This record gives sequence, structure tokens and C-alpha cells, in this order.
Amino acid sequence: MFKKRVAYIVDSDASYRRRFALALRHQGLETRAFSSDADLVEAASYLPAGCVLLAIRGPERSGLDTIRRLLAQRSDMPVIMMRVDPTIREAVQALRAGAVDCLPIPCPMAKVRLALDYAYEILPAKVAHQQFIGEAAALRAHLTSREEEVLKRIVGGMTNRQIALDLAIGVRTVEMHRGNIMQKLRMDNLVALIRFATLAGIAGSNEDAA
Amino acid sequence: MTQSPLYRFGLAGWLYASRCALPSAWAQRAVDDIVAKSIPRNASLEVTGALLFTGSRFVQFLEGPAESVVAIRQNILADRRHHDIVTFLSGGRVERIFSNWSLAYAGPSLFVADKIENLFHNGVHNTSEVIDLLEQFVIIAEANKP
Ligand SMILES: Cc1cc2nc3c(=O)[nH]c(=O)nc-3n(C[C@H](O)[C@H](O)[C@H](O)COP(=O)(O)O)c2cc1C
Repeated sequence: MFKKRVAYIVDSDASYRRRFALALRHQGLETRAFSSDADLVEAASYLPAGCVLLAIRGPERSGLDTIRRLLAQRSDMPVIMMRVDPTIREAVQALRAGAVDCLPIPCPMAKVRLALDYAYEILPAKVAHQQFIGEAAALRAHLTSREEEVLKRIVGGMTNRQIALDLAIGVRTVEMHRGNIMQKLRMDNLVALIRFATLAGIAGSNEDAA
Repeated sequence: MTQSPLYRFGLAGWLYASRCALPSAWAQRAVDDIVAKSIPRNASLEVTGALLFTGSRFVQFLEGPAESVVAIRQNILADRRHHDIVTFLSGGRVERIFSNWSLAYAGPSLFVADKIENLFHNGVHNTSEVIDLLEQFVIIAEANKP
């Protein structure tokens, strides 16, 4: 059990929002309520990690946008979409957009608990992942644009010779860049470089691929 | 269930659900393995459809030439990675629903799990709902492809 489980409730229906928050507090959760999804998205980057219970009362499209924008900022936060009589299509869209589940409004507390238990179970791993992404982004800032070009080709599986040809520079220069990259990133093997590139959002490039 | 005269020669379909026999720590591996094997095999047998995994249950719809569906069905029935296989739909089909075979969804969603449980409670009346569920996953996955 976690000491402090936070649930972020988003619902434009004030009375439902209040009752739902109260019911969740009875379950031992800490709650924070937002009256609009825009408010949550705006605050998202400052909030401690927790689960989002996102009630979509209006058109489904706006809900999907919210899920995507939220996860773009906070990929660590499990999002559960809630909707009155969700159709199969709406639920599947939400799951495909990255929500962990879709629950009906109203929903029996036992079911909300089940969904939340799963969400809180995966939260620590998601938080760790988000942290790695942050660290990778910070490390990436140390690389020059030339080093990034070389790195893309290394993780794309090209040899030093191929990289030299591709960038029209000398093999020695590639070797130098490779050494500097390893040193700046404090990594000594290709697997670590690939992992870093994935986390930092640097796609591998390879002249043969395409 | 319904055995249309088309069954032997034409297009056939099979919708079933089963229970995963593996502990959850191994289940994801098994799903990866099933998907890796099924994509080429089903394509070579002209079988299309979709598989869904809720963490405890499998649901699959297969459609294609009757002989192919029968062959794959025999493999699947003999597979020890699942048990309690219940058939909800089996027989001739007028037309294909899916253009290829894929994994529609594998995950913890209660929404999805509930739809599958409905299949057991309401039986045949819910087969179209479950096929719709599989289809929606596939349609939306196609639409999201870059
Ligand atoms: C739930 C489930 C679904 C499966 N779906 C397929 C399928 O669609 N196509 C297929 O060829 N094998 C499928 N398999 C795997 C077969 O049971 C069998 O392992 C496969 O045909 C390969 O058999 P072999 O390795 O003995 O040749 C499935 C297995 C399970 C447990």
C-alpha cells in the first residue's frame, strides 16, 4: 500500500465531482478536483504523480485530445476516462489514446477501486520511466548537433566508415565524436546508447533503412 | 451451433473464448509468441480476424476458407497454454469482416473484460458486440498508423 495515493478528478458536473471526491476520500485516497480538463492540463506539470479520473461529458473528440495532451506532458500518470454510457467505439478510442481504462458514469465504487488498484500498481514504474526520460533529455543537452547526427547513425546500426561516408567527414573524426559522445553520456556500450537514444527521443537513422 | 451448407467449401468463421493457463508473469510472453507465429501462418492460410487478451481470458475471431479455419482450430484446441475453450460462433460466413489478422488488444481494461464476461452471461446475443469490439480496436489501430 502507498502512503499517499493521489487521485485527480476532472468533471464539469460540480455535484457529481464533489460526491465522487468524497467517496474516494472515504477509500483513503487524497483527491484534487478540477472543473475542466483545461485546468488539469495547465497544472499537470506541477502535480505530484497520481491517477487521473477524467469525466468526459461533452463531445468525445475533446476528451481524446485531453488524454493525448495530458500524456504528452505526464506519461507517468495513468488516466481513466469516465463517461455516461460509453460506447464500444468511445472506450476503444480512449484506450488507443493511452487511457488505462474507461469506466461508466455512474460507476460502482468496487469497480472504481479495481481500476485504481491497477493504476496505482503500475504508477511507480511509470514514474521511474518518466524520470529516465527527464535524465536522458538533460544529458542530450550536452551533445552538439554534430554529435547527435553521429549518434543517430550509431544507433541506426551504421559502422564508423559508413557514418564517415554518409556525413562526408573523416573516419578519424567519427571516432573522435564517438569517444566524446560516450564520455559525455558516461556510457561505454552500444546497448546503453540505444536505450539512451530511445528515452531521449533520438530516432536511429540508417542509410539502408527507409 | 449453426452449421451452414457453406461450411465445407466456403468462408467459415469461429468465435471462441478461453482462459489463459499461464501465470500472469508468463502470459505476456505467450501472447507475444502466439502473435509472432500467427501473423505469418494465418496470412498463408488466408485466415483473418483478431485476438484479444484481458490478462485472464483470450477471445478470438477467425474467418477464412473452411479448411484453413478447421486446421487452425485444431491447433488452438490442442494448445495447453489455455483451457475452458467455449465456442460462441461457428459456421459459414457471408463475407469477411477483417482484412488481416492482428492482436486487437492485450491489457487490463475492465471495460473490455466486462464485455467479454457479458458474452458468457448473455451468450449468443452478445457475439456481435464482441466482434464489434475486436473490429473497433483494429479499425482505430489502422487509423492511427503513421
Ligand atoms: C489463444 C490462442 C490463440 C492462438 N491463435 C492462433 C492463430 O490464430 N493462428 C495460429 O496459427 N496459431 C494460433 N495459436 C497457436 C497454436 O495453438 C499453435 O501453437 C500454433 O499453430 C503453432 O503450433 P506449432 O508450433 O506446434 O507448429 C494460438 C494459441 C492460443 C493459446
